[in-house]
Amino acid sequence: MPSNNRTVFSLIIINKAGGLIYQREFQPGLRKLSTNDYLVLAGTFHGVHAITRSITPKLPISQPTPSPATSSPGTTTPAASGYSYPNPGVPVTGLDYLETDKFRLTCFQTLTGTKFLLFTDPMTGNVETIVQKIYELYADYVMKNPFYQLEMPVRRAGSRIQDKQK
Amino acid sequence: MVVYSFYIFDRHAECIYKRRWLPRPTSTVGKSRSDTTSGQAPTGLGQTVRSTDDDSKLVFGTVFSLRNMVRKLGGDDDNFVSFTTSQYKLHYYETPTNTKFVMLTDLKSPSMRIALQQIYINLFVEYVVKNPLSPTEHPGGVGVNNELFEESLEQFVHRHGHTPGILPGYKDGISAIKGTPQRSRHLSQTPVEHHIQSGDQSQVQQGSIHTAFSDGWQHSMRRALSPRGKIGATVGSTRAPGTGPQ
Repeated sequence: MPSNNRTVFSLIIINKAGGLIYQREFQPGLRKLSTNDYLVLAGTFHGVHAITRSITPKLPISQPTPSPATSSPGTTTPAASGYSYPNPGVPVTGLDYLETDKFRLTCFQTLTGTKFLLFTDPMTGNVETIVQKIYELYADYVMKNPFYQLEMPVRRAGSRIQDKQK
Repeated sequence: MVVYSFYIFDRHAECIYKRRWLPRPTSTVGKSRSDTTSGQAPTGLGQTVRSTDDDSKLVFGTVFSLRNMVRKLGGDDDNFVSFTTSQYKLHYYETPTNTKFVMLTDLKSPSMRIALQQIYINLFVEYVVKNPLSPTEHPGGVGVNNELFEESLEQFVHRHGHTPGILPGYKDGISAIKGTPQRSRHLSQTPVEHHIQSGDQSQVQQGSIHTAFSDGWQHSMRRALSPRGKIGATVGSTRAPGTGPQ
């Protein structure tokens, strides 16, 4: 396996409904799945992404003073007055990065809900820039293609995303 | 580093332990708004309980799906380690027996994999698995109901994370047993980070962790036998399976 600093295993694009619209492998390293499995993976990830957003911890704004003899309802009642998220200034997102022993998954979600999943080596740096570039290419060559039907799979002719990684 | 919550799931997908260090009002924003207007305690209770349960189920569903996805893509020897959102980080550790340890922390925390492993080896195995009165299976969600484990977990988390966000007295787990200062001092002498070798497990008198372990047992037995002990119904440090929480 090449151990340079820009190992990108594969790219998956998921539309806003959770359907797989693009999948391409750039370098070997991950196991190959069948087309059906990729579709399942895209749908699963779409759901998990939404769940990870909903399990964001909520911090009470008025810190309830813990009284010794109360059980959980007593202590949580003041918390119902309001809560904030851990990073208040930042919008709540779902899963952004996933780390495993063998790869790192970066998920970038556009404002319209399209998700770009980039599988890279855990050591790969500058993944943000790569994803941004891919988004630009997607905008230029897929979205500006007058023959592209929204939410439908991206066909080879419409995409030059792969060229960027070479 | 702030620890928000901690979950243990057994191999039957049952949540056997959950502990949150920060209370969470309700599952959804809309509900919480309407709650503050009506603001009655009984509805608040029902919602809080349900959302706690829901949370653990959602967490399990998430880690289960992601683990399967990772196994599928990376091969059977790949391990799901953690994921990050813009607000929190979830750490995951799975034992060979499929017990899953999940911890939610803030974004600044380093990898907690070793910490979760330590919790498994030094706390879960020592206080729960080796406890002869602890049930091996947890049908119906009785869960790990073990004072020693809870106290040690508390101290472990406090020691590892300098946790300004933690509310010290807040208990939102399966049980709400308060520790006395005396016992806390006793447990703080337990060398939690100390790895034990499987070879010397039979020699209970050797090794400081074993001494502390047996001391802990004597202590909890004393507590159970004392007439004014808060947990008079329990034997050792484990509640009988029938009694359940509350």
